[in-house]
Amino acid sequence: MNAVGFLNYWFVVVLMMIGFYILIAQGNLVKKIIGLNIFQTSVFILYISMGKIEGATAPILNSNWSVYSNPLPHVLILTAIVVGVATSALGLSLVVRIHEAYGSVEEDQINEMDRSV
Amino acid sequence: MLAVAALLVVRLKNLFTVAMVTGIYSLLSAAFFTLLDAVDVAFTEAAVGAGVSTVLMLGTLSLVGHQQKEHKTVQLVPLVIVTITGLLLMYGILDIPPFGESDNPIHHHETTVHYLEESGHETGMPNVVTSILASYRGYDTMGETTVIFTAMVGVLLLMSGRKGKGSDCGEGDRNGR
Amino acid sequence: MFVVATVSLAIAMMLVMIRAMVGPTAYDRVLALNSFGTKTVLLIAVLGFLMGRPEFLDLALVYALINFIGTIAVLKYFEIGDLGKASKDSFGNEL
Repeated sequence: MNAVGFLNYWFVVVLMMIGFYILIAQGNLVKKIIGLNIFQTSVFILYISMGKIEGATAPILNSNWSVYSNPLPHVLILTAIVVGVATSALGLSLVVRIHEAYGSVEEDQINEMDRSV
Repeated sequence: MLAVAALLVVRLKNLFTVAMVTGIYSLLSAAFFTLLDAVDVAFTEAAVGAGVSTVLMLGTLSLVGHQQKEHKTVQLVPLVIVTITGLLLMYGILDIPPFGESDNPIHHHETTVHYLEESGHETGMPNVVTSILASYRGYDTMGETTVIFTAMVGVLLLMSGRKGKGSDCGEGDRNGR
Repeated sequence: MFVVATVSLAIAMMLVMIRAMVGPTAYDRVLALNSFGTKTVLLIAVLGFLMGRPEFLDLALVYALINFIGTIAVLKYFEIGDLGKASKDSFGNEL
């Protein structure tokens, strides 16, 4: 149970927590979506790290190489990246609509207006 | 460096520069994916993360304005929640197999072995990732396309309700396949 | 030799990163993004040779194209966005 073996994963946790902090602490809705993106990227790195083998090469078959990293996480993450962009596009268009309805993208101002109605 | 970029996103208040830093963050993570042998993922991340999402972000910013309201610098309650969650996750991570070892269970599951050994002559493609994505898991990819189609319909519906003012984000979305 | 190139590229990326961090105006940050993209292209190319898979050069090519398109998008935003109104003082003391 050596610390170096987990350094990559701990780094993932740090990134994930930064994204999480942006998501719950910042009031701006666009900033929240960027936080969500950072969170997503950390999950991607977690998956890709699991597929890596020390001294292996990318899973493109070649006669000079015999050890390849695991291609399965790559496929999953490929799907996840594209779906992630679809969700953030939807989120951003929701932000635009909210801006149109309330004239603001700050969470506390929006809550204020909701309460006063 | 990735963490520096992410922290920068927390601190900067001008959303335009935040979009720039997000682009840098995306490029960095793509470089990191290349280091971890995931060239296809790096490829997609660079195209989609650094290209399309930056454009989408800028399109939104041009509609909603780019200055964030000033807040208190550090909010305590979220920070405590985040720290506790992080520590719990770090504790949980001690249970997963160490990084980069070739005898990790993930590398010896029969699907992995099958894909690496057989896909070359079963599909005729040298790139294993492509052959899994397009051949073995073709239906998954079709489902993914459905998700993107749904998201695009959602974006277009949301945008068509707006009065005039162009369809900036809708166009950006169509570029993102 | 490739190791030396990689290390020096990493140092250059660090410097660009510092510029993106302290850069007083938004334009500095745009330049930082652009040159960071260029550095990433170079890094991918050198990494390909370092790891013995020069096929990665294709990847570097696509990166260069994306970087170009990204810069165009940003400059387009400069043109149509309201960035001209928000003058130096709002960017000037941002951090």
